[in-house]
Amino acid sequence: MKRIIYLACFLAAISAIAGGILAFVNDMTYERINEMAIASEKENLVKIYPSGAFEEVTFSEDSGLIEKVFKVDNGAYIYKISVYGYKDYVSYLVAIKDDTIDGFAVISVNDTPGYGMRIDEPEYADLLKGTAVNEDVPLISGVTITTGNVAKGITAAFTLNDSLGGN
Amino acid sequence: MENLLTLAISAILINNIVLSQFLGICPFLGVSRKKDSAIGMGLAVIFVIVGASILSYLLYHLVLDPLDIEYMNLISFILVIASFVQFTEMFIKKYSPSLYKSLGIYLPLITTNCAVLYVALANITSGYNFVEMITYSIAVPVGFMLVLIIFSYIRERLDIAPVPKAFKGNPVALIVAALMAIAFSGLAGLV
Amino acid sequence: MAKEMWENFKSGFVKENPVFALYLGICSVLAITTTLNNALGMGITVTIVLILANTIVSLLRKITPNEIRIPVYIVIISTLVKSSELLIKAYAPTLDTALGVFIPLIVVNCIILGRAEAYASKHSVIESAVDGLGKGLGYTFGLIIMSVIRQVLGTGVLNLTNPFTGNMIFEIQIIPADYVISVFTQAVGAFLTFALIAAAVSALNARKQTKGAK
Repeated sequence: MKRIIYLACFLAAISAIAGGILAFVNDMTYERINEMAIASEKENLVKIYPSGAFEEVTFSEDSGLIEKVFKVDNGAYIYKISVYGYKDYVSYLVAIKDDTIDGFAVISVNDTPGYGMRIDEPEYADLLKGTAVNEDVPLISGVTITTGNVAKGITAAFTLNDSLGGN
Repeated sequence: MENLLTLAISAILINNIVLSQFLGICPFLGVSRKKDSAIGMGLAVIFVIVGASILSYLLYHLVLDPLDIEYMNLISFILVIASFVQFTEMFIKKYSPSLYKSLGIYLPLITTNCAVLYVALANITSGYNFVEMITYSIAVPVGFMLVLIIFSYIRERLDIAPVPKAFKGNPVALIVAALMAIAFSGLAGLV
Repeated sequence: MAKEMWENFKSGFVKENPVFALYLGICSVLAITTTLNNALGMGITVTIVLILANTIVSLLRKITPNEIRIPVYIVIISTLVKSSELLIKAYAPTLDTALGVFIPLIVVNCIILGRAEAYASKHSVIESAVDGLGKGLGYTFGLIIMSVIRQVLGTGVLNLTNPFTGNMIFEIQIIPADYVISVFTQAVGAFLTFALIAAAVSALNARKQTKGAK
């Protein structure tokens, strides 16, 4: 019996020391890790609004496609969306202002050159800009799987935009 | 419901834990030589992963997150896993001594099976709710068991085939794994 | 004693290479060896954790109660690994994105727990530290070979970037882009490369044994 108590105490002591060390390392690195996360988000957000100020907002929605939402100081909302394209995940940002697509930027895409990769080109962003909430999001023919899923994400963003009271 | 089915199928077939995520290979190479031990190991792993995942999920959401000590996740999860494996070992020893004997050293080694810790961590980082967590925690080891059983059938034949000396044992098993990986990657368009 | 240490150190490279001879810690080997950067990053992290874990286990070996030694080793190793994860996330974020979940999975890397149990708990601090260095470097060595083969055959390019600053150290195009066998960057290629190297090591060890017996 005494032995078991001793064993338990020993393990508890080691765990406590371990916990202390970890708490220390955590404090040391916490701020820096957060800073990096914010910096990498900002890197992408300025692709749409180079001089904007962004604020992340909490949200809840059903499609599961929208990862983050940012409110921009000019009244727009930027939605960070991740969908599955033709062969891999596509991560992108779409800015909605006045119920219309105001900007689009791809964060990461790993698709077929000449097809899915075309969503990374300025022509596609220009194609999307100006699409209003009640219009169909344009697709690129021949790239319907990727652009179709991108469109699904944008539609989900429009729905969320509505409920966020954005315009 | 459809979402859960997709989750399960993708965990079992498309992102198979062994052939696609490369986790659980150590026991895979060690236990897959005989079909019976493969089935036994598979069931034991399902039991451990489901149990350990539920416990670590609850631990995270009820203790670590509210107290703001998420950084203790690694230590606490692995201790939960180690204890649960210990418990499973005692359970199997009592109720199926033959299984206990055939699994041998590989039973306590489930603790270091990357797949177990991976599922415990993934349930948190993927933000699953309780039902999704259960689905995923059952599906992943089912995928593991599936591959383990197929593999054991192949290996039983391989052991009597004329394999070049340098390849005998694990190297040729890895080549078989390579072929199975191609086969499974063909399932990618399923969902 | 020094000769034994040196023999033990050397054995980590071929004879008892953790990856290709003992088949320990192979989950990460298959998953991350797509680029040289990853291999070096993972290899060095594992080596440092291994040396520290071995040292601490050896330091505490006289007072660690036998019945709970495995949980104690686990606590020590997971503290080291979690600290490494936090430090890497903070100071080398590109490495963190590349290695992902495999950094926390170092905890269940059989090499570390295995060496703690089999060696560090029974040898002095210096011997254990040297053992950690030897096995760790052998592991890194294995990772480097795998990744060089996979990266060159799979993408044609070999490059190295500094994980702390993101600066490219060098980049050479070895095989023109049209001739690459991209399969090597995927699952199949990983298993195949590993199988071939493992077979080669097995043959090498067998030959050494027969030579030694003669």
